[in-house]
Amino acid sequence: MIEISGRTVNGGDIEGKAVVLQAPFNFTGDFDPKTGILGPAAKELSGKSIGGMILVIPGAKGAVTAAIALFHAKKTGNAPIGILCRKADPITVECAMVIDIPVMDSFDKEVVDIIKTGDYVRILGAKGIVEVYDWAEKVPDLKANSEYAGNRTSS
Amino acid sequence: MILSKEEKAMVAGKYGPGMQSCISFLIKYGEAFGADRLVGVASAHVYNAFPLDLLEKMTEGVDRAGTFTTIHPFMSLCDPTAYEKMGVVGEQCAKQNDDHLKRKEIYDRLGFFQTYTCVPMLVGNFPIKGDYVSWFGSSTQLFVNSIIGARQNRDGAVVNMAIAVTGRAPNCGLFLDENRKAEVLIDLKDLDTTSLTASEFSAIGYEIGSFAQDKNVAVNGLSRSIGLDKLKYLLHPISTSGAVSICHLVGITTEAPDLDAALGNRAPKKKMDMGLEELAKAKAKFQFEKGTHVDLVILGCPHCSIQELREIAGILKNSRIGSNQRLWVGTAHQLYDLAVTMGYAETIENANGVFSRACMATIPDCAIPADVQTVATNSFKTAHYISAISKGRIRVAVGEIESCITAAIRGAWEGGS
Repeated sequence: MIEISGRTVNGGDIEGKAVVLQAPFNFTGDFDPKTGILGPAAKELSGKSIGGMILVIPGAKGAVTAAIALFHAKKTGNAPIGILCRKADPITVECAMVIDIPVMDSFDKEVVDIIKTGDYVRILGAKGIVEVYDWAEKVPDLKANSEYAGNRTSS
Repeated sequence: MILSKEEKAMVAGKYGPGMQSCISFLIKYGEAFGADRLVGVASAHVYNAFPLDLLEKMTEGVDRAGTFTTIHPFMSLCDPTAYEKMGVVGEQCAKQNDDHLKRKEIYDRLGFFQTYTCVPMLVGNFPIKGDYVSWFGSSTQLFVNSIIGARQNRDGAVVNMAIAVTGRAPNCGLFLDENRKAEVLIDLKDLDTTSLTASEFSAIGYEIGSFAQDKNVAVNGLSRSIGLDKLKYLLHPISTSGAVSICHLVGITTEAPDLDAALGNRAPKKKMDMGLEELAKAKAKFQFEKGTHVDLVILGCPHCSIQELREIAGILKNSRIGSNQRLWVGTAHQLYDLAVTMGYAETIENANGVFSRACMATIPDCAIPADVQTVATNSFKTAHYISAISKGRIRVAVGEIESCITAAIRGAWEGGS
């Protein structure tokens, strides 16, 4: 397990599987809010869903309707359950707040390098800490399958 | 964050749960960006296709908007008074109309002015230099920051609605002097800007946005005599191909009396020269071969000014749109009323043109009728979105208003300018 610390922008504890994107994420172009599926901009992750996942991104870009796209995605269970980013930008914060999911930024380590897609991540918002587990290391405890999506335990 | 007595009362729920939720949202959001306090805004301009349940939640128990608020166009081409005439598929619009009527009740209660246009400054929402505002729409944001010199962040739709409800905005970002200076310089020195057409300005703006991305811009080398109708075509696409929030026009706009003022006495981080060669390359991005049949002409992105409506009517006098072509003209209904008084509306409608209060860039889903394969427009923003959203189903060319109308009358494209 690796522990990293950062700033809590929107609070809460949550755990789940990570999807890590290296380029700034466009909430209105890079995934389909009806399915949660990532488009071609996600390169090798194209075709995977961000629904129920912890999204790890450098930051966001794109249209001023991003939060509305995420609001619709949440209704169908296709929104992420937490966001970790290098430096919070207005779009990311607005998106996370409108569906009230934990968001943290300004980590002591490079978040998009430390966390790998498929890692099991536990966000402890109140403590300002994120625990990063290798999926194989964590999964026996969880009695979960690869589709496991965490439940938020407090806010 | 330091809060006033009034703001604390909002947080405590004195003005209803909607107000409480909006102010709490803005405080947390502002704290993420280091805002020391909230400031009062002079006006807001809000998104019309807002999710109804979210709108109800954010306005629950609220009697009146916190500031002077106007409303953006209908989206998905679903202007209730126009979509049938435009041949837009009715089922989707019928559903939107139901939501629209419920939204309208909320707008009426809160006193939102039902302008349905992307040019709120042309219908009475006009702040002054130094005012704080929150306007929805990336190109209105660019206009208000750059031309008017009121202060505006690139607010998303939800933050923007919270600001309209409360009349307060976090003091951060472009509200602060130090964040308003240009980092990217565009030099037009080899161009005779007095001879450039509106669609050429639109092409230049499109290039500027691609180059500058989300950085503040200064454009040097523009003639003072160009006038607002053309300058808006320069600014408009900058926030389409990029996410620019402020573009100083040196010698013209309020915070750029000279280049040093625009750059804050610093050297630019990036610089681009635009001359005839770059302009020709930009114009070629959306172009047809001469003689290509044009199925649909779209004017009004941004919504047409009354001067443009006069120009369109002038060209259409004694002509009709050919039976295999269509013409859509986007404008505010307040300007439509003026066009009725002036006789322009009758000329345009008798020629088979259709007026609409929808977003003419066809955002978000390009609900253009299936028999349309080619579109001509005078706007790079329209061209960009229709090409992108239709995924290439529809081909688009950009030209002057006159070239577009000629194509709508005769059917064939005669060239860009």
